Amino acid sequence: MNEDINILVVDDNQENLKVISSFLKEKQYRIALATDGLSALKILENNKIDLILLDIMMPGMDGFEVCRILKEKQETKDIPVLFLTARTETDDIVKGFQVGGVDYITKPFKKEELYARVNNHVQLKLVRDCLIKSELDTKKSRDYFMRTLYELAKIMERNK
Amino acid sequence: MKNSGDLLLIVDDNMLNLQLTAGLLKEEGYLISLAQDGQAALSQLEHMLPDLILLDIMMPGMDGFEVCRILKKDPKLFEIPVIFLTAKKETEDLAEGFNVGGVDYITKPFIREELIVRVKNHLELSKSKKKVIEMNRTRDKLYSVIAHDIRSPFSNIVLTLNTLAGGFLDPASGEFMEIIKTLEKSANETRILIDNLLDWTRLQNDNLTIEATPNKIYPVITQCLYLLKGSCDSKNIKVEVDIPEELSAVFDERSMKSVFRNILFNAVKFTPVNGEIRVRASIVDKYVIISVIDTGVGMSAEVVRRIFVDNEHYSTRGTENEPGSGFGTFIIKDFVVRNGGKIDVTSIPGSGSVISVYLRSDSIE
Repeated sequence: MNEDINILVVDDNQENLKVISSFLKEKQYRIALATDGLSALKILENNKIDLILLDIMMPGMDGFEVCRILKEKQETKDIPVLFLTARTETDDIVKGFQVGGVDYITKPFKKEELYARVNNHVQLKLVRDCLIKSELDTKKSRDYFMRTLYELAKIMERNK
Repeated sequence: MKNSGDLLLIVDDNMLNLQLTAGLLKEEGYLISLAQDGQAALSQLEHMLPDLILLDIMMPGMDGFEVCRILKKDPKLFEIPVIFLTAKKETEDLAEGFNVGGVDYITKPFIREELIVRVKNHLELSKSKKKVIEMNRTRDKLYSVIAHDIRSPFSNIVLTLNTLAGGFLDPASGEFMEIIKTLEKSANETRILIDNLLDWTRLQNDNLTIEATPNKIYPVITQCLYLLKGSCDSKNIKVEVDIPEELSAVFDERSMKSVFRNILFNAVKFTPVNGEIRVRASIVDKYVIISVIDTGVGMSAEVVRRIFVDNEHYSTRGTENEPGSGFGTFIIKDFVVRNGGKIDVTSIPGSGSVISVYLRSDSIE
């Protein structure tokens, strides 16, 4: 199931990108990589991305700025963003939540933490999508069901 | 207040931590229950079902992992999401936390936003999952009803009509009349089922508006009984209505007609041949009580509990193998509550049932 999930990892540090993608590949996620904010936004324009792991400190546009931009766009505003940050940077963590991040992952990366956080938000996204679809389906079948029943009741009424 | 209604259980041996965590979450509008050790948490969980548990790992006696392991084995509790609270130096234990079934962890001392966001996300996740399951179940129910409960009586009706149309029976014969009566009975019962499904479907769509106004009770009961005449005759059940014609109560006519139609339908369904059904009314305090008393097969206390307390979908066949969909009781319970009334069931297996509907009396406004 994870092979249908596209995760975008944005970090200017190649080493970090390597570690994260090797972790995520173990869980069969599909991965897109970017080393700066601009190329991240470019990737988001042309690809269906389900979740973003976003470094904060990057040359040029920082992670907060990237997050702010994509939260303003209709097409990208619902993609969950998890910030990559050091546990000691309390201010960054708070700011991450303020600009619309859903959670954060501490550096240095721990496998279990990465898996759990990513999985939680993938699940949340899937279940939200499923709920919307299911609501529509149920409503449609109910409407159809009700129309049929009305017809049936009318026929019986007529035959009484 | 936002989030009101969600109940969180916080387990931590450190009183200060407990108070701090509880304070932050109370501000968000959550209801909070506290426990200072694993044993206390588990005994609270025997009679309380929180929506989420925040669980400290390092505690004297039973540690958080152990508590989590125990509650993940309990069919009543295993779906409640558990977030571990852990001190910074214990982060090595994280893998164990996920192994025993935790969904996340929060490192102490935690950041307010972090606590609030994680709690909120996991509540949403677990609720949405439940909702998806519930919706799928509703849909399956719809399909199974279409497949069995409507299709099979209709097939029978069509089959019988085909036989009659074949012209092999003398229309003047007693046998012919017998078959016509059976047809009428099947058609009426199917009609009740269709009405139930209509009401139920409308209820699901939330289009059903309840307008409780003063209404006379007697005509509602007799109209419901009219539909059941064929069924009563074929089982030779005597029906007696002892309600003053002028007596009225406050209710929505359409939905209460559904209720009585179903109560009476069940009474006929579960009363054996040559039995008796009585409908009576009395006034107690602010209520008009309408009771349907039958000499039917009755229900055990267990079945009454399952149907009327646990909100289970429950369906059994009648004394003459009449089918059921379980919708009837569902509609009875739901509509009575929506009419501001209540329902009371007394039943003795083997001798009969008394189903009493309490409706608000219109004499006191």
